Amino acid sequence: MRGGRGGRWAALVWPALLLLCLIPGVLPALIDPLGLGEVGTPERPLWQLTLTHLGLVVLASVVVLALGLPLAVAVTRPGRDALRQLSETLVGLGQTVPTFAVLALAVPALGFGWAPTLLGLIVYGLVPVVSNAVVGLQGVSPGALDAARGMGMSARQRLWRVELPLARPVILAGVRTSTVYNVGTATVGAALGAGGLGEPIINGLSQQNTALVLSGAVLAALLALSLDALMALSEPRP
Amino acid sequence: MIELHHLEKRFGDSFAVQDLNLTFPDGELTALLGPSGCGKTTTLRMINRLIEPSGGQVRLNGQDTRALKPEALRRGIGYVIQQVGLFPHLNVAQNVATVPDLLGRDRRATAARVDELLDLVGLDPDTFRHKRPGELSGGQAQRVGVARALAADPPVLLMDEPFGALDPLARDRLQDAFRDIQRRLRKTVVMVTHDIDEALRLGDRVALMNAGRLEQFGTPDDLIHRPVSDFVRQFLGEDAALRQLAGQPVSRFMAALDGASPLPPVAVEDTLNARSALAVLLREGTDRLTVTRGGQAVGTVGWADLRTSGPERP
Amino acid sequence: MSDPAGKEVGAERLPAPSAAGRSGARGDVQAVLALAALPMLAGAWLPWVLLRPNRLAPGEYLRLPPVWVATLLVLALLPLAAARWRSALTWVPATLALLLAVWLLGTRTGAALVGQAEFARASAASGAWLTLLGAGVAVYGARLCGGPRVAGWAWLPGLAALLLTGTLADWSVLVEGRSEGPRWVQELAQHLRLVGTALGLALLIGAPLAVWASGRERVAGAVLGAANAVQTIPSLALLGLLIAPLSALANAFPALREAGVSGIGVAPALSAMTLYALLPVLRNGVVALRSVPAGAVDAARGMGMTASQRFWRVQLPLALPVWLSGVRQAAVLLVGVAAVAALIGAGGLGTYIFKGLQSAATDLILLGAVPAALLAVAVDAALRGLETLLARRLGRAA
Repeated sequence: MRGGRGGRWAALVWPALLLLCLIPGVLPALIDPLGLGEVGTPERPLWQLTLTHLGLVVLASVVVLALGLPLAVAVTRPGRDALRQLSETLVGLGQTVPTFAVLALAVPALGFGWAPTLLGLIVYGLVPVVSNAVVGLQGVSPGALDAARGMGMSARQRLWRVELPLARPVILAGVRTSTVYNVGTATVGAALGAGGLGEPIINGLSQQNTALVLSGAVLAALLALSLDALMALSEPRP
Repeated sequence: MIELHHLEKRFGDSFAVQDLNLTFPDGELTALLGPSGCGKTTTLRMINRLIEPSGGQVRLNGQDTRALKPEALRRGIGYVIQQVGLFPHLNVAQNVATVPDLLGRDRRATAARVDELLDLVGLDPDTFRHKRPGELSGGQAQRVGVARALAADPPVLLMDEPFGALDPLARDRLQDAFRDIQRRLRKTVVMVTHDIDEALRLGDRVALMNAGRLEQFGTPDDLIHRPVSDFVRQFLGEDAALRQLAGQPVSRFMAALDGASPLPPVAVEDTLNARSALAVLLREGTDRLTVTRGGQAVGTVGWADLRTSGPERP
Repeated sequence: MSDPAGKEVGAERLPAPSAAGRSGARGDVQAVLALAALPMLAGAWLPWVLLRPNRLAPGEYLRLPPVWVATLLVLALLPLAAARWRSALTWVPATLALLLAVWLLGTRTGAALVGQAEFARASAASGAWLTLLGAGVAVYGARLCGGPRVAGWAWLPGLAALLLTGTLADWSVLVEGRSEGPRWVQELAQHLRLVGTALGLALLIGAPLAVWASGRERVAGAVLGAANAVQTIPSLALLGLLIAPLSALANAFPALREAGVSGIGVAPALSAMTLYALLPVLRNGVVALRSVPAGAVDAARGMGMTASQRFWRVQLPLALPVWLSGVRQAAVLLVGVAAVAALIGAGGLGTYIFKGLQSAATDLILLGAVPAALLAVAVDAALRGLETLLARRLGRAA
């Protein structure tokens, strides 16, 4: 669905714009003339907040992949329909429950800071990865599997040589969705004290400083668009 | 009567159809035959103005079709396509009733008409009336498609590869059923096909098109035995005569018993197709066969009979 | 006619469980019930109630009396045992476990508060949460075990009865909710208003746009690309980005300011939410309209339907089920975005989440987060039901 003809350009343009905006002084120079307030000098420079943000998202994605893929493989083995249904139901529930509610519910368990945010990112990030991986593995044509069995492949060989390669595009699309949405979720995480690019937005809102809000929002948007475009490169072109 | 006068269709610089002059006789089935891309479907779709001609005109019963609103024109012409195009959200009866509905006909009369049509196309109304298109086989769906096209009793029927998507068995059955229907209703039918057998089997006349032009128009015999060009001969193929034989029972070719000469020793049933009779002649190394009906000799057939072009048309 | 119907590949359903109920459930169903037993077993041992002198102060953890620990341990294992030997009856212990967990939460919080000061709060601790989770999964698993269909919903009247009789009245979240009272109802109404308005606007803009774009290859690509980019942008960032132009507008035109347009509040929230909901509405609209079988549209044209007859009689009915699933996605998404919109003063259930986060009051967080989650689930279920109904009426799988 996403990407398209402009995909390759987007993978150049968004990261370039992001890097440009991260050069100290560039973003304030762009925003201050709008007369909405002063970006000023936050306690932590914007590039540091961006790195924190990116770090949270990447760490969450790694954990999500490490948990989600084996889970999806486990529940799609034959004779485990009930487990697959359970995981699909839970994933569907995860898709439905608001992100912010998931994050907020982690606070009572883990306190404030980056920990509840990371937990929220992992829980929420698991949703597209597991659901896509299940769909992808389920979608492998029975003909291909039958042929593989006919050639004498063991169950493990079928998984590694047939099922995973065939399901790869769908799985990658899930990882991409998961990562991009998590950039957004991590923004909200600033409300739990996780740092990141949500911090200037929330501070700006409470201080009535639209310039500060704008600096965080622009960077968060650029980060999401950059990651989306970069990860689109790994998907096969239609 | 449908007449095409200097009909043409241009797409950009190229002609899909060029200077086409053709008269489709009333009450006959004309097969528009040709290789893909020859313009036959474009021609068909220009008749009910699904495609607007770039030049020339189409006359329906002497009237230029451009004088009519396209929707009104189409409601008076039955239309059957290869993809069938049944509306999946309506049941069979509702599908068949579409055009009468559009024309604002009386509901009760239409309901009776639907049953009559389902009967005509060989589907039991009680079984099929309330089925959804998704529950039908390909052959059943196309039967409903034919019933739907006939619903408003249009004098003209346009068919675009109507049996093209069916498996050979279903296609054979539906072709037979349609030939019977046509024999009773005598509609003016224009049927696009790329299947030579279908054209020879169903067509009263065949219009063979090539590269947007009419190559030859005539009876199947004309095309087989009196081709006007190398293209016609090549397109029909060396075995065109054989193909035609395959579609006819041997009884059409047999000579009556004269009572004097002895009956040939090898006999075949009169329902056997003429092509198989020819094969029997070859296999047995004989000149003539006895044709029997229910064990009774009713005639004989030989090489010369099968070679003559003249089995009478149905 | 002989058409081998090769449909329903890959959509295999579970085989119908045996009606006799004497035989055991399948192995994978037993695995689900084993997964359900684990958190219940752990939950019985862990503390159930956190008692604090007031809503913010640290408190002490209370465990269940041994009788109830033993009962819970038995009830945790019973569904698993039932599934093995009398699978049609699995729903009985599973439903009992769920109702008992809720009842215990109510009675234990009530017991903890006896003799405490007015501001003391008793909230659920890890044991209660884990037990509830496990019991929920057990109920889910029991539905795969056979037995009467309605048995899968047997917990619902029981739970309703427990709630209506005030069993949970001493649970801290409900105490918090009572003290908020009418204000909470207002915030819930505001939440629904925000979602409803944004969804309505998105439909008003998105539906005609989808119809217009679906017939035009390049327009469709461009419109979907733009909507995709909008959805990629984090919702909080989108709210932030909209504040600047709207406050600039309000500054430039005082009339607009009087009409309620300003940098914070409902206007930017609604704008962002509408933009957000536009993508699912548009995308599914375009996809749905394009996947209407070409043969049906061609046949409709050939039969003499006008363009508007084709749209209303053929294209729209065939596109509706898929389109509606886009509307459902949009609605669910909006319930979540509306929670974040509280940050810019738009109100809604998010107000409680932010208040709770600012004052580190867990109960306030739950008062916002739990209803928001339930609301999303309810909206999803309601629209899903409508989809199935439509798909059945329109004779096509959604």
